[in-house]
Amino acid sequence: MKEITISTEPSVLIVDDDDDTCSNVRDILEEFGCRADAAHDGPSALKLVARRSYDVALLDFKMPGMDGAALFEQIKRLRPEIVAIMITAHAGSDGIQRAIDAGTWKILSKPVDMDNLLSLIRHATK
Amino acid sequence: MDKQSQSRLGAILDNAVDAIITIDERGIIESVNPATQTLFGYSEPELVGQNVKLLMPSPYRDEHDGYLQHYLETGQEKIIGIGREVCGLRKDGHVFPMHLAVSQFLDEGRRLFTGIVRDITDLKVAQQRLTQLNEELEARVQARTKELREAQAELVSKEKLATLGQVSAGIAHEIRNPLNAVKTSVYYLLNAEHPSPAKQAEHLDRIDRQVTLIDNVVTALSDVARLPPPDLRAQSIGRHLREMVNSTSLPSTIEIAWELPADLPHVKFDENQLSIAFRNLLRNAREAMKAGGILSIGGHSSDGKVHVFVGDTGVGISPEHLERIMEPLFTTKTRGMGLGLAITRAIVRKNGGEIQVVSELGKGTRFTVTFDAAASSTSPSE
Repeated sequence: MKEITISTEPSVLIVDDDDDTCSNVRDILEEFGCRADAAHDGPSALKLVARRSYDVALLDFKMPGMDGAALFEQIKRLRPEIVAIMITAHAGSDGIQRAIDAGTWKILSKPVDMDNLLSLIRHATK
Repeated sequence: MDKQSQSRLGAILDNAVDAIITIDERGIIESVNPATQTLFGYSEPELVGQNVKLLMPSPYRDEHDGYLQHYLETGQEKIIGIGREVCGLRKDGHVFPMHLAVSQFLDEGRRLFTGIVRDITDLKVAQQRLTQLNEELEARVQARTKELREAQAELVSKEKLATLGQVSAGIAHEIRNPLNAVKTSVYYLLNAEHPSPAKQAEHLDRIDRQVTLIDNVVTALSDVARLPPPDLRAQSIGRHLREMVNSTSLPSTIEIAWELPADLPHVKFDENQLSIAFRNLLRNAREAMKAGGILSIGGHSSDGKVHVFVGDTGVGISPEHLERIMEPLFTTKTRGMGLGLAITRAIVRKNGGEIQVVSELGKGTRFTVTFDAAASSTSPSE
């Protein structure tokens, strides 16, 4: 067991169009004491955000329909307090600038270093 | 010759533009016309009685006696009756190019030679200028050609690099996504305190599934990289398509409409290669019908051609995308490198066939593959 404990039970929203990735990240976050919800696209993520707020949103950048940057723009309107971590498999993508402009806190590349991600979540919810 | 004729002849010689010089067998000048004086800069008295060598620069000067002697002895003509370009020497030492025509005649038993000399300095200058211009032009053409070749090579190299960059970015994206899923599953299995056997199995399943996705990417790349000459055999394309459909996993929301006649003529194709092509078409149809629909598999023959099609009632393709879907690296999917249809078309063409697509947004898409029927061969039964 790693020495990463998150005492305040941070709430995390995971958005990724890949089912397996969503489930994996949720399993890990729950294992480390987070509350996690997952959505597979922008519209269903917005439905969750409309119901309740989260400390952190983990957003896949490239998704069908609405990409991570566009989704975060809409999330901010509903819940400006949510911190966004963008996750991308495409480091050179032009859209990354939009993610930065939208006020994304961190941009991580796939495959994600989970130790780093967990400490970022802990840091964001201190 | 009467007096009138003689004086007319004299006038002709006096007014001729060309220098006209008469010499005897030893080369001694007998007479010159006024043009000779103008051309060579000597007066008539300075010339008459002198050896004609006076008007020649070296080495002609030293060889002239020999020429004359040789001609007189052998009768072999080197210049007489022919005319050639030689050099002249003026009184002031200036050497100039000239054209010389020599003829001989007998005057009261003596053999005399008449030379008609024309100054071709201007012609030579013009010729040299022309040659120089040609050389300059040639040099400029060569320099420009070199520039163009270099520019073209640079362009090709840049284009290759751009394509390579595009391909690598696509591959990186397609591999990093499943790698991320694998890595997170492994992280869970390594770090979860008491994962239930069910959870463990779930994560191992995911790893297996995601590794298969990576394998698919590698397979697609190998398909592009190694498309050997097809092993063409006359066989039933209908049966092959049916087998491919049956081995494709389809969700229960997709219904199959079979329109494959049993008596389609055989066509020649490479079974392994066409499997890749059909697999791509079937996968696209499946992905276009995420909400379910009808997969129509059919064929017909007419005018010595055999057509088979894969149709779906899925999302359809917009007209502007339809033009580009078979270009390598063009994709409308968030997951995918844009190689599937490019490979499919390459395979169909390499097997001697053609592929066509019709599509309507919101209604669906149909890909039709057409081959020539194999000679005098029909499929006995499907």
